[in-house]
Amino acid sequence: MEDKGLKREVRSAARGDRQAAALLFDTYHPRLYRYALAKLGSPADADDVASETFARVLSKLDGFRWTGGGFEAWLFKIASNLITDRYRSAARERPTDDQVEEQETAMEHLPEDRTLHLESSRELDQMLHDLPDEQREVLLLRFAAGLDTHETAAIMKKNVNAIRQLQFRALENIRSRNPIPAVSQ
Amino acid sequence: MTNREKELERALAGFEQTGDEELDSLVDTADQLTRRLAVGTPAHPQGRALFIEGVAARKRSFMSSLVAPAMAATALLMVIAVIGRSALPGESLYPVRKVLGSAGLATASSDDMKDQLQDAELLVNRAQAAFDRGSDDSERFAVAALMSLGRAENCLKDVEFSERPFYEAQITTLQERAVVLIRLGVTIDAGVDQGRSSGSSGSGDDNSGSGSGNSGSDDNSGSGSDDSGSGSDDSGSGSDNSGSGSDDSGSGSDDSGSGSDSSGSGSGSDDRVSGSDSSGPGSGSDD
Repeated sequence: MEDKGLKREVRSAARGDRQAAALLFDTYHPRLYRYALAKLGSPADADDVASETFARVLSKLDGFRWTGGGFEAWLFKIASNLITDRYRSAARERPTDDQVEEQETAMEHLPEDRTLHLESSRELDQMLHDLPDEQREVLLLRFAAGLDTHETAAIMKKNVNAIRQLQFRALENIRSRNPIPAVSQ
Repeated sequence: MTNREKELERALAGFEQTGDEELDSLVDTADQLTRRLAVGTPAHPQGRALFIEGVAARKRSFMSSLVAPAMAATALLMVIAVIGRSALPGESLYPVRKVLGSAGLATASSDDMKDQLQDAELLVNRAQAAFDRGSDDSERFAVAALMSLGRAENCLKDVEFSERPFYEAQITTLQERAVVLIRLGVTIDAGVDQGRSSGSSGSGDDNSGSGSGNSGSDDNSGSGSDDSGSGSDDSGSGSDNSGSGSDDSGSGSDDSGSGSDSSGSGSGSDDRVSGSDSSGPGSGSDD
């Protein structure tokens, strides 16, 4: 969504506009879900995080100011904090094998199934897990959440150049360690 | 940051091949990563409906969110105004009172000064009237007047400089009147006490009768007794009550037959005047 359009929708939602609310939910819920799923590994947890993020948005919309990375950065910062809380409470960062299977099962039921084999998913999880924390976070925010480098910088409280460096190194790391098999389109 | 990282950023923006083998392989890696992470999202109609309804509810609460703070601010101002209306000079809310006074919502200092002076004058007059009646209230009224004058003095520093001498003179005059009335009241009270005590000596016949007997003294005749009214009982001066005393003495007293003295003074008086006078004759007596 364009920045201007996004501002308009957010303002409308803050004033109680149903259509604007529906648009925001439809735009960002899938991205929040993907980001949470990539970090937590559990579809159920990811769903919870996405829903809870919108609940927080609802209660904090009055206090939102269009600074830093804007609405998207604010939204994913909320999600990121919720995920961190879950890490702390459950003391887990990477999914178990059962959770990966659960994830696979969930994906198989999707209409547009572009999932990989279980083995490839595990490899991907392993590669992401083995990355330094900041590199992993940059990749998830960029390619799971779909944020640009400015928004990613705002969430991670770094400058854009630092984010570009982290992104470059993270991609190099993954490519050098285990080239990802080609995806069947 | 190197140019490579910028170039990668540009290439990623469109996921386009650049012709640079290294960059292209990174773009390809990013592309595949994106595809893998781009899982479909389960429908979430309940969460969606909740969010939309929650947003819609904000419309209703929008007005109340404006009204509530306004009401709270108004209530706070009213509380400050009510407390500030009676603030005295030197108190933290006194400026509020000045503002209210200038707006006609509270009494100005000069008005307050006049009120206090009026109260004080009224109280002094009442004290005077009570004194003239011989009432005990005169002292009470005079003290109240002094308190009112004290409050008037507090207002002095806040009235116009040119008006101060006038108010000061009034305060001083009323203070003097009040003080005089208090002093007179105290003096009179002392007199009353004296009179009462002397009266009691007179009535305390029984003792006196016998007492005098002890002393055996007829001489003190009379009188003597109480220098003072207070000592009377002991002095035995059955004295004054002569009449009555004698009765007792006749009967009661073993010793002495004191009835004797009688002397005269007998005044046994109750009233003040006699009380005070009685001291005169009293002396000399015993022994």
